Amino acid sequence: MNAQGLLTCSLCGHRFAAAGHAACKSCPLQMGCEVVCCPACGYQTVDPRKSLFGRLAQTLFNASRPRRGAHRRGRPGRAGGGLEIHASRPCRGAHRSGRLGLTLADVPPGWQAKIGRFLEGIPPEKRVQLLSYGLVPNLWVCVVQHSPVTVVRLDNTELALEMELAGEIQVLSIREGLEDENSQ
Amino acid sequence: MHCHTPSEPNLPSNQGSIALVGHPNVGKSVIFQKLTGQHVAIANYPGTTVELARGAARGLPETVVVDTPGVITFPPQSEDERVTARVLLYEPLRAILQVGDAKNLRRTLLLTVQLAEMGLPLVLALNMMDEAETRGVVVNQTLLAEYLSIPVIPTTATRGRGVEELYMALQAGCAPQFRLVYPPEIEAAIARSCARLIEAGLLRTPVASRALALLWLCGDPVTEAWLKEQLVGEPFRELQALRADLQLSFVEPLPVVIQQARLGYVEQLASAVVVTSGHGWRGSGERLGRLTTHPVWGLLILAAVLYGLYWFVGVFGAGTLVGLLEENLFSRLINPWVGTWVNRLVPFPFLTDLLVGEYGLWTMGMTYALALILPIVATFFMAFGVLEDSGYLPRLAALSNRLFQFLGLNGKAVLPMVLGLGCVTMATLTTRVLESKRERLLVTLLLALAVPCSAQLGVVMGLLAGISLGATLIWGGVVFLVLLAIGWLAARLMPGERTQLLVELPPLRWPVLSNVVVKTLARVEWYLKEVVPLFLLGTALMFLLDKTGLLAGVIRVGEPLVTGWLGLPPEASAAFLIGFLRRDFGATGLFVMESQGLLNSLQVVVAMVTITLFIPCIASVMMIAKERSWGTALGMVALITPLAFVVGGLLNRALLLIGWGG
Repeated sequence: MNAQGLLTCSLCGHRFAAAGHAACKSCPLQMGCEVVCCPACGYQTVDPRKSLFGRLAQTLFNASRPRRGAHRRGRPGRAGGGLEIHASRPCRGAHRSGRLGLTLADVPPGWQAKIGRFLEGIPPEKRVQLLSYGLVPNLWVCVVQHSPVTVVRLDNTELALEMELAGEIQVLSIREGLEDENSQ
Repeated sequence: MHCHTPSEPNLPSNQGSIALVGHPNVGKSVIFQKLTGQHVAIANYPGTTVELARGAARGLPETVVVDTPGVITFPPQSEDERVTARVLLYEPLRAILQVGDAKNLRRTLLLTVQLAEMGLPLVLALNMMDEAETRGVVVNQTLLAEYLSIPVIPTTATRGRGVEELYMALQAGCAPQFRLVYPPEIEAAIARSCARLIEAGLLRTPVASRALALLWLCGDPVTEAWLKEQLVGEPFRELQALRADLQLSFVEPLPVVIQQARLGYVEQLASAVVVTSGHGWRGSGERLGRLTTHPVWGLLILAAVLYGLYWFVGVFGAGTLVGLLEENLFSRLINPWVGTWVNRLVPFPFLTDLLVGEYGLWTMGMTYALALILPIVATFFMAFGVLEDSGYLPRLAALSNRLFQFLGLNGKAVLPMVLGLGCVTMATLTTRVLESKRERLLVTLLLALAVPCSAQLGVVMGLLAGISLGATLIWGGVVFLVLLAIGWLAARLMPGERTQLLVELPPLRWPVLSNVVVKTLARVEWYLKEVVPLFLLGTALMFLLDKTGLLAGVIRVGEPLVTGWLGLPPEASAAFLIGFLRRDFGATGLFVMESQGLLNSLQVVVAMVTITLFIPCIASVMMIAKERSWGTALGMVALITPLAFVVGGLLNRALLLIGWGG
């Protein structure tokens, strides 16, 4: 499942929204069901939002193979690059923190984020530390993972920071792909 | 570029030492080694250097090189960073040699700007050029040198590349003509601060007065302490008022405003001098690095690492090597030979007994130290050296962050905790890498309570492996539970906030064999210097107690506790008594008792749990007193000693109740 909640049928390749699939409501086996049927071909696909084992297996396989498109895609932001989303809409972290806009904690692993401002929850000494590590506004960073801690890649460094700290760093926009690319 | 030639009134003198300054894990200690020929502990993780190392520079007559702990930025955040800041203000410096990471130029330059502002002769060694080249990072160092007006030398210290050029640059060193222009309000405050310093009679300052003013405005505690020593009364209060007034002009805290101004300049500078910025990270190292911090694969890799450590230290070191040395070499060859010669040459039975008797300096002290402990410690330090150099430990910090969150800490605490498995005394010193006093105190307590050092761990592993896996699991489980319970409780009782994790993950590298071997030997040498005198002292104490009949008294006094509560034979009192000197020494005494058939499985487990939870050694208590205070050290002894016996006794009863190993 991708960041927009879309599933891809592994039989016919059709992309469809997992949430609110009309066929599920009329299915007699819907109680406790952890699969979803493709609207195009009817093939059953595991819904990782419902299945713990499915999620676990997906996490395992995602970690052991290179991110799709990370090397194949051209430099993001240029012609032919990945999709860029501007972070002006409310998001998961926004609901959690009661604020509007994306934070670094909301960026899906494998995506890049353009750093915005640091929110009030970060103490001054941590702000200086973040700046000194090179995590500065308008810089594109790659989010590698969020569990057990958020790991971001910038320049030729990887930084590990707690999710709560990542949730205090606003991002201006995001785009798919782990290719290193900065605004230089 | 906001930069022009300054006219500094307070240029420092050209006499004194050379300070090696730079970010953590950029190769300062390797360059120190190349410049001085001396070895300091080097590892691929931040915090290896927490104290200053000094050595005479080989190519520069009468010049001392000072290796400082890594610093991210000024003002310093942790105690080890403060050590570096103190060097800049309190040490008479001839020059600063900044060691920077060539592949992370922005970060390096941010510190360069701060150091250049200090007005001392500065040389920038752009280190790790090999890694930068591998990643396709190309820097125009001639242009960079021109912009900053300092010598910039590309180096690959591990291979000795660029070291000769460093000597030449340091010999010719002159103060950089560099000045960065800050927002007008800050410039005005700098000018007023400098004027106050001159008015107060401070005409010569250790670093340029402009840099001193900036450090003061950023709230640097080291500068504050220095100024308090130099200025009394009114001038100091005026400086405080000036800083408070300036803060009113900005929404953001002053250190952030000042750092942002530097970042703006560094961004322009980096754009001008970086020819290509690399093509990203690829290869198996990067993939493996990612797996090591993965929530599932990371734990599996950790389990594999721990198993490897157990096999190398517990099975090979404590089993095979100790067997070879103790049973074959010492018991069959050396000890009988030494005994024969001592009996032949020394006519006094008292002296003979002191040397080769039951509590003899040779037969007990030296045999314990060399035949039982040395192989275990050497194998542990070797395995630990490989882990350090591979860059795995910071990844362990990320992986274990949640566990340490439960203990009111963050994952950074894993660095001293794992080093504690090597030597608790050394690890107590390394708590300086932690950011708050509260965290340093919590980790010191956990280290003293429940982290066994390699010597003890080896003895414990060797002993428990001979019984069953279940025995090892009970011992590990109980010690881990005590660590969690006390850590959780202490975190809730101790006032203060937990700091959030922010740590750099260096790339995974293949450890360099020569580095691991040299480091292992250096640590073994350090260990022998520390342990042999204590072992001899402990043996002499036991000998005297035995000869004066006091040992029987101690055993009798300890009987209700050792036999009644812990369920051990009365002779175990002697082991606990010497456990006060070093707990591995005490554990070794229990090891010998077990090999004589005096302890059953249950008693071994109870004894090992109790001695593991004991105070580590006299040296560690002294280190706690040095790093914290005598009050803290004695408080910890008063807490830990009874706790060890309480847990041991409860375990004895619990195991008897379920009928395990009796």
